[in-house]
Order: sequence, then C-alpha cells, then structure tokens
Amino acid sequence: MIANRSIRTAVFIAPAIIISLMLAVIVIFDHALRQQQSAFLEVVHGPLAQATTSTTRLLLQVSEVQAELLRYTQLRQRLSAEDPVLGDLRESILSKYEIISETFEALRSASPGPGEADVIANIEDFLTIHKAVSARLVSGAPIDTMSVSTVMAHYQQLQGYIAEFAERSLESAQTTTDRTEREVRSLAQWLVIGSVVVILVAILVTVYVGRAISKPIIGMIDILTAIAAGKAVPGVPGQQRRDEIGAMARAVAVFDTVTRELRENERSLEEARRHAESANAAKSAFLANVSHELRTPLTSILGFTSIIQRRLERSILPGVTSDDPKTAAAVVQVRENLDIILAEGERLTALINNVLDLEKIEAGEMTWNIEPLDVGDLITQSRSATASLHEARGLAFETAVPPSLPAVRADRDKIIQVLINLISNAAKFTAAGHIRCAAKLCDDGFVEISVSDTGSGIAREDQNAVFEKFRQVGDTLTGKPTGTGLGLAICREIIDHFGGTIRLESTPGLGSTFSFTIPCASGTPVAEAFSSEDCR
Amino acid sequence: MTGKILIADDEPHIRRLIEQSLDELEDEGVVIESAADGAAALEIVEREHPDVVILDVMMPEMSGFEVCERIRQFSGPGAPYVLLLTAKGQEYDRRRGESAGADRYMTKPFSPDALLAIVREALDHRRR
Repeated sequence: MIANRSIRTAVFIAPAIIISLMLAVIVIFDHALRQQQSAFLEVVHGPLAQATTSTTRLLLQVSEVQAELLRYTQLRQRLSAEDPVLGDLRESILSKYEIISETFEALRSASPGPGEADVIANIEDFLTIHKAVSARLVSGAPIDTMSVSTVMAHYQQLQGYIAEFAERSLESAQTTTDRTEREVRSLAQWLVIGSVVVILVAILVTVYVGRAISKPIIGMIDILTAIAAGKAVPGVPGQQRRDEIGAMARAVAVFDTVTRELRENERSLEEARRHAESANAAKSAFLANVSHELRTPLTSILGFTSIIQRRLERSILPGVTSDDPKTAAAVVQVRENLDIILAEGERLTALINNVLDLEKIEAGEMTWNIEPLDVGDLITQSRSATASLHEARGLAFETAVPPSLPAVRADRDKIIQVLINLISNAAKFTAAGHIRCAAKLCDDGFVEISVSDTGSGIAREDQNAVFEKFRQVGDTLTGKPTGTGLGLAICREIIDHFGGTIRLESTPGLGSTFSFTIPCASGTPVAEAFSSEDCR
Repeated sequence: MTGKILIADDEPHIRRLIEQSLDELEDEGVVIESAADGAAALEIVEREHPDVVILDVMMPEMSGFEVCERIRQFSGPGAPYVLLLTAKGQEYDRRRGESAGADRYMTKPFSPDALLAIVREALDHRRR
C-alpha cells in the first residue's frame, strides 16, 4: 500500500489516520454526552420542575379552597344564604376552582410519563367530585354534615393523590437521573475502550508506516555496505517502485554497477601492474645474469689478448727480424688488430656497465648518496680522470669556475660520471682546439655546468636524438661506431634525478656545448650580482 | 721474491689467465696454487697459509664471500691478503665484499697488468 506512495505522503498517512480517529472519537463522545446532558436537563428543568411546582401549587390551592369551604360552612350556620359575606366567599371558592383547573392542566401537560397517568386520572376524578360537592355546598342550600364530611374525605383523598403524584414524579426523575448516570458511566467506559483502540491503531499504523519506510532503507544500507566492502550483490530490490525508495534503489544499482566496473578495472590495472613489475623484475634479473655471463668470456678475451700483447712485445717480437717488409707489415697489423680487440672488448664492457646502470636508474634501484659538493672539485676530478684522452689529442683544457659559486646537492660519483662522459665525447669529436668546462649560478637556485668543445658539432636534425638510447650521431663519415650509445641517455637520467635539465647547443663545424643544471645545496641562494643570470 | 699465492676460480680459463698474468712473479720464485671451488680453496688456505688469496665470488661448494669470511675468522696476525675478483660488479656486491673482510674488490674483466701490480704490492707489503 505504502510501496507506491511517496515517502513524503507516507509519513503523513500515519498521523492523519491517528488524528482522524481521535477526532472521530471526540466528536462521537461529545455528541453522546451532549445528548445525555440535554436528556438530563430536560428532565430536571422540564417535567420535574414543572411537576414539583405544579404539585405544590395544586396542593396549596386545594387546601385554600378547602379552608374557604370550611369557613363558608361555618358562616352559613350563622348567616343567611343571601349574606354578602357568603356571596363573596362563594365567588372566591368558585374562582379558585378555575385556578385549580388551570394548575391541573399544567400538571397534566407536564406529566413526564405513563407511570403518572393513573394518578393524574385519580386527581382529575376527585377534583371533579370535590368541585361538584363544593358547588352544591355553596349553592345556598342548608349545610348538611354529610356533604361536609364527604368534602373532607375527598379533600384528604385528593391530597393523598397529589402527594403520590409528586412522589412518582420524583421517582421518575430519579430514574432518568440514574439512567443518565449509568449511560454516562458506560460512555466513559466506551471512551476508555475507544481511546485504547485508537492508541493501538495509532501504534500499529506508525509501526507499519515506519517499517514500510525504514525496511527498504535498511536493506539499501546493507546493500551499500556490501558494495563498499566489495562483496557481490545479487541485485538491488525495489527498483520497480515509483517512490523515493525506487529512485534510491535505481541509484544504488547504478552505483553497484559502477563500483563493480571500477573494481574490475582496478583489478585488471593491478594485474597489469603486477605483470609489468614481474616482467621488469625478470628483465632486471635477466640483465644481471646476462651481464655476468658476458663478463666471464670477456674477461678471457681481454685478459688473454693483453697477455698475448705482452708476450709479443717482450718475448716474440724482439726475436723477429724486421728486415723483411712483409714481416714488418704483419707485425704492425697484428699490433693494430690486438689494439682493436682490446678497444672493442672495453667498449663491450662499458656497454654492459651502461646497460646495467640505465636499467638500475629506470627501475629505481640505484643508490644515491646525495651531499653538498664543490663544483670546482668535481671539474678537477673529472679533468684528471679524462686527462689521457684530451692530452693524447693535444687539446687544451680550460676551466671557468667563479670562486664564490655555492655548493650543489648531488651524488659525487654520478656527477663525475656525467662530466667524464661529456668530456670524453668532447675529446672524441674534437680534432684540434680546446675543451672548456665552465660553471655559473642561475637565478632559479641552480648551478649550470657546461662542457664546450671546438669539434665537429652536431647537425641540427640530430640534436634532439643525442639523449636517446642507442642513438649515436656523428662519425657518420667513417661509419665507425664508437662508444656505447647509452652515455648521454644515462647522463640525462642522472640529471633528471637531481631535478636538473641537460641540453645541447651546437653549430656544425664550430663545436658543441652540453650544459646541465643541478640544484644548489642551500635551498635557493640569494642571487649574486657577479655571475647570476638566466640560464635559459 | 718468495711467497705463496692461491687462485680460486671455477673457470679453468680464468685460473689460467690469472696464473699467466702473475707468471712474472712465478719466475721470481713465488709459488702459485689453484683451487676450483670454495671448499678446496679454504682447505689450501688452512694447510699452506698463502700470502695472497685471489677469490672468485660465484664458486660451487662455497662462495668467495663465505671463504673470505672463514679466512678472517680463523687467521690471526699472519692473515693473507684477500682479493675478490668477480663478475658481480654491482654496488651491493661491492659492499658485501667489504663486509666479508676482503682487502680489495676487482671486477671482471680485469687488466692483467693491474692485477700483477696489486699482487706485487701486497707481497711487498707483507714482507716489510
């Protein structure tokens, strides 16, 4: 019943029913009470009052007539019938009967019930007789004692009947009062019963309406809790309802579907992530194993080549006569070939190291020892580590580090690795001229370090590719790859890790400048006038 | 020059390479012994008391780390110079080697000349 009505309506149904019932009970009982009250008042004010008044009046009037009658009889014995006193008295007596008759009529009309009808009849009879006898007595005839005693007897009889009537009227009134009282009492009982019934109905209606509203809401809460806990929900009941519960159920059903889809997505994402993670872990393990497995044969190749080189130089070549040009050419060739084996073996070793490094940085497994570092120190160390390269090529090495440059926050080994890489590249691609290593403070709290050369430079179209893995540029004339193709990719990963940037400016034929930024050690330093400038 | 060197590596080629790298020392009178696994290496160390032990890390029976730890446990003042020579070049492995008590950690591939120089220096140091 409640199901298709809106909750807004349903919450008004219970109080409406209760109020109507209460009103009905009140109206019914009010009506009944009014009825009883009017019945009671009717009796009290109407017949009873009238009966009492009329009876008293009648008794009084009858006794007055009787008294005058007695006086008449007494006077008649002394006076003649024509005496004016007697005449006046006679008229008074007869006129009194007129009044008595009126009073009696009033009494009869006021007579409340049939119980008094016989008494009324008796009173009427005796009044008539009394009047008749009285009329005869006052007619002027001589008084006979017989008539007097008859009139006395009738008077007494009449008195008795009037008294009885009064008594009966009282009794009848008493009965009405009693009945009213009884009915009022039973009405009071009915009122109690009616109130109890109304209260019970009110409770039942309230409970019913309350349950009709709360039950689906509680059900919905259970379903929502289950959805929130990620449990499977068989279905949301009540969606076909047309009330707010129906709307709620449909919303919950949508929520359930969306939640399920989200969980499904989350699960597949999680699965994908796990797959990716395990694939990544497998890749790391594979790379570590491969590198180990590659190192062992590389050790033999490089080691024995070195030993062959040593034997050749110390034990074999001294005994070879180099007079024969063919032998001399062969010796040169063997020496060169051995150098190539060693160089390529070392390149392979570097490649393995770079692959492992890059893999470690990308997998987030690299250990970083971040500390404040002096830029001058970093450049000096990198310079001496690469001395053999630029000295061998006869290149000048210039440095330009302002003396008051603040310290930077980074990992010493990693920054040196970057610098060595950049300086080695510069040396590799510079046939003549110089390598310049400079540092300056930028506005944004970073220090920029740059490595410039006067080498071959990098074509504009290749400039973006240099930091990508295995994208070697330059040296395309000879077609001879040198390096691992990973050096600059590692540099970029390292600089990225410190929050800096690395970039390249190059003019083919004039040289290249690689610069990178690293944050200062002490937060954002006060911009100092001597060298602070915008690095971008 | 006198002295005893123990080479422990499960790869025969690498043992041969290390031996040949150090053959100058052998010519000078240094005795070179070799073992193909960790347990054998430890046995030779206990019996022969070599001056320098060159240990591979990944060996059957007992890893180079473990051999190094054992050597550090039982040998007192005359303890040998231990050089870990391994293909495991990761930073973690390096630290593991330091905590095992190795005097030097070298990664493969290595330069025979560098190895010779290190071993020669170690022998000189012990003689002093």
